Amino acid sequence: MLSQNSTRREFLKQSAVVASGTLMLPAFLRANTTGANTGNRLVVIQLAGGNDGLNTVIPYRNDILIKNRPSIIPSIDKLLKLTDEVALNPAMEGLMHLYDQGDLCILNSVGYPNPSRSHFRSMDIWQTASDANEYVSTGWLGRYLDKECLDTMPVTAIEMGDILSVAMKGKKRKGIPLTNINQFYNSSRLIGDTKMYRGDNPSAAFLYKTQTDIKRSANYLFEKNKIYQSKRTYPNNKFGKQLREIAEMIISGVESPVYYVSLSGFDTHNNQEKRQAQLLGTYSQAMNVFAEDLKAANLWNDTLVMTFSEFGRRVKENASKGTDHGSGNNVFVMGGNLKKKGIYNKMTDLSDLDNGNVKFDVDFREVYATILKNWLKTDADQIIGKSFKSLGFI
Amino acid sequence: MKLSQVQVQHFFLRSGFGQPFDLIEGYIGKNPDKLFQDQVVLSQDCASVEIEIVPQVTMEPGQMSTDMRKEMAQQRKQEIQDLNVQWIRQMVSSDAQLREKMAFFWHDHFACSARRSDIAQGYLNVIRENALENFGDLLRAVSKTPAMLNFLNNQQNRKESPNENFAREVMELFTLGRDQGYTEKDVVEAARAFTGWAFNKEGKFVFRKKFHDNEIKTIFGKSGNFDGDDVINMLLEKKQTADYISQKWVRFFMNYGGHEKLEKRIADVLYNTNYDIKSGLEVLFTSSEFYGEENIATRIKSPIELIVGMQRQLYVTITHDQSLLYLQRTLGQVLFNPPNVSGWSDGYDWVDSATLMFRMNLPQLIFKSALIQNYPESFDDNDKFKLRGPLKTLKANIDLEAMNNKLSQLSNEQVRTFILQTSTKEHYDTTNLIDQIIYLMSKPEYQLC
Repeated sequence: MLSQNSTRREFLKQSAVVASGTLMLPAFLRANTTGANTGNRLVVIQLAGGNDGLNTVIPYRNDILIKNRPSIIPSIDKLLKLTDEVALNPAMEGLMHLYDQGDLCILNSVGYPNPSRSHFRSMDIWQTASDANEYVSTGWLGRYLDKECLDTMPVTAIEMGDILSVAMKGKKRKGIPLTNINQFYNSSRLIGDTKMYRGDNPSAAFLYKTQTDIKRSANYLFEKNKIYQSKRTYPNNKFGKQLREIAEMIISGVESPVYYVSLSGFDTHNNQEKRQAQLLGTYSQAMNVFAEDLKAANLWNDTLVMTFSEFGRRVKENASKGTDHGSGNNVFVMGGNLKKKGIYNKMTDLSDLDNGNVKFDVDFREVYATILKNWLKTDADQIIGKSFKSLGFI
Repeated sequence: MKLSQVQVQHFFLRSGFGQPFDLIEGYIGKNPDKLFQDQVVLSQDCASVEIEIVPQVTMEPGQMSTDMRKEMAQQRKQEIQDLNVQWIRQMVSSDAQLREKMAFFWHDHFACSARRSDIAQGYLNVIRENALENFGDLLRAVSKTPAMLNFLNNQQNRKESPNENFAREVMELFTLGRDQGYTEKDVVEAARAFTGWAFNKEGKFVFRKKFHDNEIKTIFGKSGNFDGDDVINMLLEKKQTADYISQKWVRFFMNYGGHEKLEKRIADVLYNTNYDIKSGLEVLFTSSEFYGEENIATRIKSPIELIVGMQRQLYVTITHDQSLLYLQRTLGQVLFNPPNVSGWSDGYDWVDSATLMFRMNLPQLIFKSALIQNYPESFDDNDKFKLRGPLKTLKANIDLEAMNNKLSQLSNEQVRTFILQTSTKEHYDTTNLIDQIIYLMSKPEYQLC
């Protein structure tokens, strides 16, 4: 469990006993049962494959953009206009809605020095928060878990998916990847009795402990998850189901400070417009329903959602009506408690490119530092391994 | 020193991928020297890993139709997958276990991935053929493979615009170790020396004179008109290179924590034999330290060690290519696809809640054709190791007759010690051999070697 005020923890423990058997925990209590000592939780969404940011948040009057992209910009009358210059992709009505309500902050030109255009390498850099020429085997959220997570916590952090991302790997602690809670629970039941290991082989001790942790987490999630089931309509696909599951966990009072989920398919080298619209539609609709779910449960104010992609794409479209790997991209931050709403910084300057690529204006580690420091209330410098300035969005 | 069953197994699990019980049995009571020398003899053999490669079409890229390009890309992907799978099969079936294990070690040390199957195969041949011979030759040969030149961008390293990637990694990863005995300036200057090392369309190393920087460079305090070979010689002259290799060996083959005294002994022999790999390994595998209790069953099997070892020990053959790829992906180690230039993160990093549950459920998938629940996704259109689609079950053959012949005559304790590499007392009370094996393989101890 994350370090927590002990009297409150005692109180919660007792309350949980009282509350078990009832379907709903009282809202005032639920609002405080997130793990972190702040009660704040973070949801990270990874748009995997390199989302074309310039076709997501579109500077639709920019001549350079129009000239370089004759066939992939959606028609101007369909765009969802945020300002006189900036519009969202037409598939993103859900996000438009969040923008209108002041629940969205858009950061432009987020990147890092000497950007890599390899999916794996750039994803690695984003997930480990390393420099471009540095190789690190732990992730920024994993290091957060190392620092803030206590052994007594029933869950550390949760990733929706079959494979744990390096972002969620710490030295001592790791997030829990799961396809869905039922499957996780069923698999955990295949583990036999988890008795204490009494030998002196440290590797065996580690495996036994991991096994015990799995059982405990699975039982905990399985029990908790009966508490709330969403009746809202999420997109009927994998990502929609994953977001629903996260909402249900949060509203059921699962004490995880971090959730992680990935939406794949953004590697649009050809016929981009339709493919990307489909993905952005799924993403945006899911986020909107997710926000509604949490708002109704009075939990949106202590939730922060951050969305990133490993890189953006080149300004100029290619010959197959697609775009190739680029650099610099937008990051979305959502939640009910934003200090800066709307568009955070100026749009990317398309007249000042680096080899046809967007130059970065915000280092992604400044975004992490802000979240770690201002939202998760922890030592950002130590977790990132370097000092980055905080931005004012939260 | 006369070796016990556990110690004999320890040797075979670490210096190779494990052995069936009948082979283990024959070595109980023998000394380490005998085990090692036998392996050296068996490992003289170096059968190459063969796949069918459709020759590259020599056409200008512009002339090729989109369909043709797609088809070729698909073909290359297939070939890389074939190479991956055939290499695993080689590890499983080969008697040259020491060579196979060393080639696996070198693949991690000289971590590399490639899109072109012919250059990937060239790289594989180099690390397998030189796996047990001379480290200097190996280093030089790997550095000149198109796969590595491409992976570490030396193809782009030219006089006018040096690319430091290779020069940095040859010091940081291949020889000296991070921040040990070189400066940023050495990297910059060495990069100049490596300018012109490149490969041609046919996938052969070439030295492009016109891209080579013919001026004086100053590296490790010496000045001269050095080229790439000179830098490699300078790196081999440094004792630190022998120290670094020895440290990596001890941590990989013996104990995660290392062992200073033994490392020094190995490094001395390695250095004094002008980097003869066999001589260095002999010190390791015949030392009394290696067989110490504190090293037995403390290593978490890497996914490849698990996948290969299970087949070697237990009369199992995973016959289906996609099943082998699926296992690698789900467990987190795919040959020819290291996470980055520094290779795989070994040790406890292999284990998280998902991989441990999968590992413990693996015997059910193998022996009971249990249904597969997890499916690792891919986010990259060009992912070389993308699976064709979800698998329902793993496809494996089990040689029940051989298994029964060999294992059913053993006592419970022998079976237990054989599978778990420890003499725990507990066993599953059954007369069914398969059930007993599944029970033992599902225990956390089975993940250790």
